[in-house]
Amino acid sequence: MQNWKLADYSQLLANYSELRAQENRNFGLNFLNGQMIGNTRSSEQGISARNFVSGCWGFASHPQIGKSSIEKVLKEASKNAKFMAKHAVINKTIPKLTGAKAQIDLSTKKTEKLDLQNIVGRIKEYDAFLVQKYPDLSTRTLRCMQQDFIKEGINSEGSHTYSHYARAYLNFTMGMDSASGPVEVKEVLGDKGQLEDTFPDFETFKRQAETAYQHLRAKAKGIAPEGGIKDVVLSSKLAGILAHEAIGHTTEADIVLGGSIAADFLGKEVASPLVSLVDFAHTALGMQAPMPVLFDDEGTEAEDTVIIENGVLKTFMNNKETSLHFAQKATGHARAWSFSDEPLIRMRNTAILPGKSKVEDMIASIDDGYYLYDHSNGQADSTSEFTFGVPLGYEIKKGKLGRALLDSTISGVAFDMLKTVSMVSDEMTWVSYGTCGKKQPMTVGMGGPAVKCKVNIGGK
Amino acid sequence: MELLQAAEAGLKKVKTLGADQCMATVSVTEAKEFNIEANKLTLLRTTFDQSIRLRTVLDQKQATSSGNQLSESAIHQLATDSVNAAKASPQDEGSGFAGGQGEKNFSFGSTPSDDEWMYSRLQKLLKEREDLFPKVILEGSTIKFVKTNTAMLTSNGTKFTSDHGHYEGFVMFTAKEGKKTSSFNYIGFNIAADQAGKDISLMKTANLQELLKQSSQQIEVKKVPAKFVGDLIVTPHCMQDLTHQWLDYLGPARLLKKSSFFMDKLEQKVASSLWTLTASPMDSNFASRKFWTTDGYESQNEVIFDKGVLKNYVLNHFAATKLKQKISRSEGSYLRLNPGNTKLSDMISSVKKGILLCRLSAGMPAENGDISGVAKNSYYIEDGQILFPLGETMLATNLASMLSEIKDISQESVKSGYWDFPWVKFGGATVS
Repeated sequence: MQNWKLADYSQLLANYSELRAQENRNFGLNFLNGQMIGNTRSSEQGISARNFVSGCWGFASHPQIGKSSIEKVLKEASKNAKFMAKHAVINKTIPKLTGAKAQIDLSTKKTEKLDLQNIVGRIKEYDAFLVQKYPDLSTRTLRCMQQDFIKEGINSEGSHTYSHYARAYLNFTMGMDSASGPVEVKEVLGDKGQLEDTFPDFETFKRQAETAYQHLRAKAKGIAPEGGIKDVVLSSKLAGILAHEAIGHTTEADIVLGGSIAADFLGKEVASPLVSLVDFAHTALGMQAPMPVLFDDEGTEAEDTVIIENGVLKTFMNNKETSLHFAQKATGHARAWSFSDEPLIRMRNTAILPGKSKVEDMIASIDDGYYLYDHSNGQADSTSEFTFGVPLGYEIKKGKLGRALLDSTISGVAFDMLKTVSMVSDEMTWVSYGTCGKKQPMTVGMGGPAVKCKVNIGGK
Repeated sequence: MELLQAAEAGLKKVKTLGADQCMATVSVTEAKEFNIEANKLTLLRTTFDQSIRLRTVLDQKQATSSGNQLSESAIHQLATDSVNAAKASPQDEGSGFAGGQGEKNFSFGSTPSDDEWMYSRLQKLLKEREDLFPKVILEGSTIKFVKTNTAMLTSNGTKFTSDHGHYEGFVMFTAKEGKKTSSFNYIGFNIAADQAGKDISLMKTANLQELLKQSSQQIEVKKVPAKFVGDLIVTPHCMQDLTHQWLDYLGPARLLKKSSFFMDKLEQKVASSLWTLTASPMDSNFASRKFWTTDGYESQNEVIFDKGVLKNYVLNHFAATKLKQKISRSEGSYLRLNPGNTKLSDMISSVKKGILLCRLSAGMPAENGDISGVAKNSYYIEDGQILFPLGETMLATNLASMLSEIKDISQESVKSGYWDFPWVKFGGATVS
């Protein structure tokens, strides 16, 4: 456990101030068709200070963590805040909140460590299995990564927090030639924690590889979807990105101030009564969330944020400053990626809550539509129009699954589309491997059940 | 520790630990950044940082370790990590980096940050926005000065040092009137350091004024009347985004997988003769520079496509060695697409049915180049007239076939300081 002893500097914090020491570590291995094409590790650490004067912020960071650099960043942040306050008269205040005092450590508790040779050996073993078992594959990639984020923070309101977040994954793709050109499917195995906790055993890998291979074989004979508005079932694997992109970004308070349409829908119906959407802080439905956040980088204790309750938009996601503007509670959304980044309003674990339907019944209820199974990238908009890539799906004809689909994209205006939700399944799938982009990257969890609705699908 | 001293210490330690080849890159960066949220200047950031990257090749095995601590003990630890990681790697004949490139000092924009000038440019932009486009809200927008000093040494006999500074801007915006909201849009631009102090209008940089005007119009949108197959006139901002998709098919991952539609197409005509694309990291017309590649080769400007003929892949040392192809000295950076001979207004007049595509929010393209996405901030064109801004409009096309569907390229172009693109007209897109 790192101990940068920031409490020793608490007397130096003037006005409203924050001081944060942080180290980020990244590890990555990348194999393509059995060849290692990437072998990297990095570590960056430093100290940052943020100071608030008359509605303006000053920030400064330095890569060394020590007395002189701490004094330097505090002085520079204060100077920057005063420069801004002198020029731009905003005269806003910031709410006084009780500072969180807590810690969380997601690093492995196993005493036996996985060394590089061991990891390389296992990846080569898994790759050899793919070659032997599936000789018709044209491409194989296996990527292993681990990220660690270690932070200690204090603020002028007495907060003192420590966190070690970690996540680690093995993801693989399998490719095959087909009449429509090369096709590919991907699978990701892993979770919060370090590789010692999350690296899949051989049997798990083999099971997932077989499932992926069957999808790939179907996709090799796949068809392009017919473009237009269609009845679809979005699988539970895909529901998380819907929650994140379609609603989550639109209800971040800084995006609301920037013109998001959500500003005009507070307290109004934006979705079917079947839809409830929560940004969980650290515990979701009785389990630890995939990216548990006990407190944020403003030192605010994290609580769940109920964004949509039975179809009605209840609140936005706030930092301290926007909570005052919207007269809503700050529930711990201000997070920074690196020591040199300022906290921004970010989601934590955003999910649509499960309903009561069975996926089989949802598919059976569609005469002509699609079952969309997995997602790639996604994007939100201030209008609540979302887009995300769908690399895997199946057509539904007369209530039964048919041919696989080639890669496509779906879109919709969330506040319209969510009103078309007519069934929500009773299962729940979480994913946490993605990285959300908004000036800085950020780790987030996303989850949900399968959802029956109407979306616009891109196709011929 | 000084830059060169730190790089030398890293190189020496890696060699001592048994490396056949090693590369040490050490940088110190200082940035000053002003931030705008909801039309107000809200934050000034000063960030100091440093980095060290050690690349080791040992018995045809390689690894890279990087950190941001420059003490002797931190460098020694990093060197040990890099060598141990290389030892644990599989052997591969593609391992390695540039041979000796000699000794060279590079310098561009080595002036201090002009904070008052940056502040005054932003204030002017905010005032002009208020006067010209009161419905528009600037959000998440920044302008910053970034100054970086770097030293790169290799055991093969390269000693490069650089001193580089430039201004960097990012402006994101949405228009709002009552309960109606436009899609967001954004631009990025670079301004050369020697322009500080001059009466530069950010509003007139990289066509921002036109995009803010469009945002104001895009509060009201309509769907296309019916599904059709028609033309796309892609704007310069959207073109530079889209061009990175084509570059992905010219890069290491897809070519090593042999899944790229450009595989084995060097020196072949793969696009319209109108299509000449260059990557120019050392071009004097751009506002910043890239002096050398990640593999330690001195940067050179390169022609990627010449009159539709594919002239160069964009391969790093590893992929080029494996595929027995030329190593890219540009890494596909600082792109310029040659303008054509037709006026933009004439290109629009010639469209029977199509879209002026200003931004594409797309899913990841398929291995075969199929791509679909939502036309954002875009307009419907019919019988040569721009009729209305579009909403909820999906288009589908294929990146490979698009290149042979190029119908025209405009005389006019937009320069961002790190790219230079005209408007391009493509046929054959499915719009729904």
